[in-house]
Amino acid sequence: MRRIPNLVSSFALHIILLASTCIPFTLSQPSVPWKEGNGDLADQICKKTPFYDLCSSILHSNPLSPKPDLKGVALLMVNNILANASDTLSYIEGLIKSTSDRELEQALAFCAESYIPLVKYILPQAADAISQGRFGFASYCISDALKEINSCNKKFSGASQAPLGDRNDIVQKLVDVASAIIKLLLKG
Amino acid sequence: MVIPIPSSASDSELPCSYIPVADGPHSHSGAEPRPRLKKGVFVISCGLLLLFLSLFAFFNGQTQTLPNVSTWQPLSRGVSSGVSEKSTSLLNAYPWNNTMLSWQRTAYHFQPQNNWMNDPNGPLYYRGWYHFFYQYNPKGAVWGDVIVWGHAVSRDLIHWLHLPLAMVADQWYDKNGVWTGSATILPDGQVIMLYTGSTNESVQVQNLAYPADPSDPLLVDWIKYPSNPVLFPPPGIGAKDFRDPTTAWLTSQGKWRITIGSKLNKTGIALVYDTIDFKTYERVEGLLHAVPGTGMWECVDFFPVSNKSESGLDTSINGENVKHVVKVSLDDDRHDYYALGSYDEKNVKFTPDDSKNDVGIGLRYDYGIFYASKTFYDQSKGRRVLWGWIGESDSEYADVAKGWASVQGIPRTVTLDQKTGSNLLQWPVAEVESLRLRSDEFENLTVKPGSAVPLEIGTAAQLDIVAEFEIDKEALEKTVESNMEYKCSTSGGAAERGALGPFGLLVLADDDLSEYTPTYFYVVKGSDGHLKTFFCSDQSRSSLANDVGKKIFGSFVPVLKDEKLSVRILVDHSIVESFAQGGRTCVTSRVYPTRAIYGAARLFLFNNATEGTVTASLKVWQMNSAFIRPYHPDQRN
Repeated sequence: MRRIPNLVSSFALHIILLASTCIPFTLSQPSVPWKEGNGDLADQICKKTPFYDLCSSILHSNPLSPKPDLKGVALLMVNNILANASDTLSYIEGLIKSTSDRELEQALAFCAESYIPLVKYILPQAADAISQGRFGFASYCISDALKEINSCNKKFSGASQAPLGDRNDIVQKLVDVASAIIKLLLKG
Repeated sequence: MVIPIPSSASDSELPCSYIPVADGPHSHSGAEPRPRLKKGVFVISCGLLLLFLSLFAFFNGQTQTLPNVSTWQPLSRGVSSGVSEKSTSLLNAYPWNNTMLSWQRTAYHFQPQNNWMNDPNGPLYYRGWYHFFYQYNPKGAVWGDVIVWGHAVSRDLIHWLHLPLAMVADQWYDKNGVWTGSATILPDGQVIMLYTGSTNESVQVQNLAYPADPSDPLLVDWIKYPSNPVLFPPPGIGAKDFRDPTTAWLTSQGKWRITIGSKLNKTGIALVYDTIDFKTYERVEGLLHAVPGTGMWECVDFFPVSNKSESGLDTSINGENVKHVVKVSLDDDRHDYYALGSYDEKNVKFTPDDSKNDVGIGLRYDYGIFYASKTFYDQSKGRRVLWGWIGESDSEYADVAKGWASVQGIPRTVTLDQKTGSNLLQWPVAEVESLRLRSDEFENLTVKPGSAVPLEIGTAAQLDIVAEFEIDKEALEKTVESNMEYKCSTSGGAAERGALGPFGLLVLADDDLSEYTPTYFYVVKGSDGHLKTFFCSDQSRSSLANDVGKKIFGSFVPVLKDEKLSVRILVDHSIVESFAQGGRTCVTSRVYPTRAIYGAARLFLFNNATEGTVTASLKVWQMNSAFIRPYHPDQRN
């Protein structure tokens, strides 16, 4: 690994220091109802995920229980991924039926093989685990989910066609967001 | 003469004197060299040094010439000529050190963190997870003490997470061992486990167990049926000849049927039982199959294969386009055999297609170290998957020193070979390919007779190799016919030169070729003018240590017209698994080099034939670790 220039490393250090003072501050807040007051919960949480905008748009466009908490947010995110992944699976299956390109069909079939366990087992088990407070198991499920999506992604990276368009990419980002949220749950 | 027992072995039940066993997976040698034998070791080391120098002088430039036959004596014998066989045996324990021993652990094959493992048990797929159970000794690195069921889960048959022990020996009916068993998944999703218990009086009985919480996808906790045992040895069957119940299959009467191996005198047999609820059983008259002279049938497996498609079949399937397989592990020779045939459900009879190659006397799954294997139907991917126990072929002393013994083979898909119709094909599951990192490709390399070509691939202890070979047509035509019968196990291995073989790859070799493991083809032109091909794995020069297995494993491999010779080899430290002609003939071996380890391990192409020039094309991938580790739900992974 190349040595990070001193300027960059001191900048990173500052960011880390800043973040580490903010995090305990925000987590110590009691459950804040949605859209009320400054620092709304969705905002706090989404700031700690790799895709703030995506996270924010999902949380703000979904009706939530009167007392949202981190666990509820994680659950909401996982259910959202499940919906998206189911959708993507149907789309893949539709593409398989309509294509006559042998190679494309094989690549799509491979992706379907990745999405089926995702939709059938991995995401539902992650949701169950979160509801039951088994955040460690949920964490395992989410990283398995990421593996499945990545292996589907690899089939099309570099290829001239991207039949899944943005779909696989979006699901991947959603999983990255969920993963970050579950890590927060694990921290306590 | 009493040989001193090494102190590290004092807490296990090892015998008092060690006799090096020439064959079998364990060579019991545990003596430490006596002080006056150090002089012998010094003489041998000097001799070895001289030999290395002379070999080194031979090798120059890119293409290395292999020494001629006379210098290819097994190193220890060539140097210690004059030292009698008996005194050689006293030099049993090679001075293994930690560096050499810790290298032996595999990177992507299933093994527990430590201690002894043997038979695979109850493999199944449940709610998105593959489950693997196994015979495990929690107390040490040798078989014995009391065997229990280990447990691990994986999403993909490759990346495993260790779970707590599934079942321990806590009942009178399995007090002396929780032995091998199989899983049956009912149509409604219920999981049934049947297993053999060795009772407090060492009687072999069958027991029922099931998950404590079916909603737990990890199936961590298990309940033993309160009214166990469900089956006792029937009259006429020995109390210690009744074990390893199979997965059940549905009969046309709607009952579940299982088979259990046993023996009557020297005839291996498969008993049959029917059940509705897995709690009470009726013995079905007669036997599913029997073969005289084969001895005790352990780990019987019975399953259908399609002769129309490449998919696996659920164990209950029967009918058109279906052939059945009976597989047994023969206690007498520690090998796994199978036969293809037809299953007459009404008469409960299996009839082999070729009675000359019946179960136990014909084909083997694997011609190396591979035992107690078991298949299961993977309903998520529609395939039949085979697990096999790969024991050690080093000394018990080394196993105890390194703290573990045995690995499992990479799970293999099993299908009927549609082209020959008379054998199965085994192939590593596709998921193993997810471990592939960077690759090196070599096209049309010419390897002249009597030469070895080093392949620049970087490190060579974790590899996936796919190679194709062709012998030059002229040599094929010119070669004289012979009625010579080649047999890998009795041949001189890669040192015995023929007109059209041996040629192949030298894995886990070091630069000076003081250690190397040839995986090779040996082609013979029969008296009818047709070519016959043999596929072998040669351990005889795999290690300078003299307390490890040195056999040559292998068999005939069918090669059809216009087929090139092809091989796939998975190298993973002390295990080498090779598959010829798409999995028609498989050979697994264990190797324990002392020099060709870590960064010193190399890969060579070689051709030790006298006439044929070989053209080889191959692709070699570096393999990642599978990071097999314990499941920790409290930590972030």
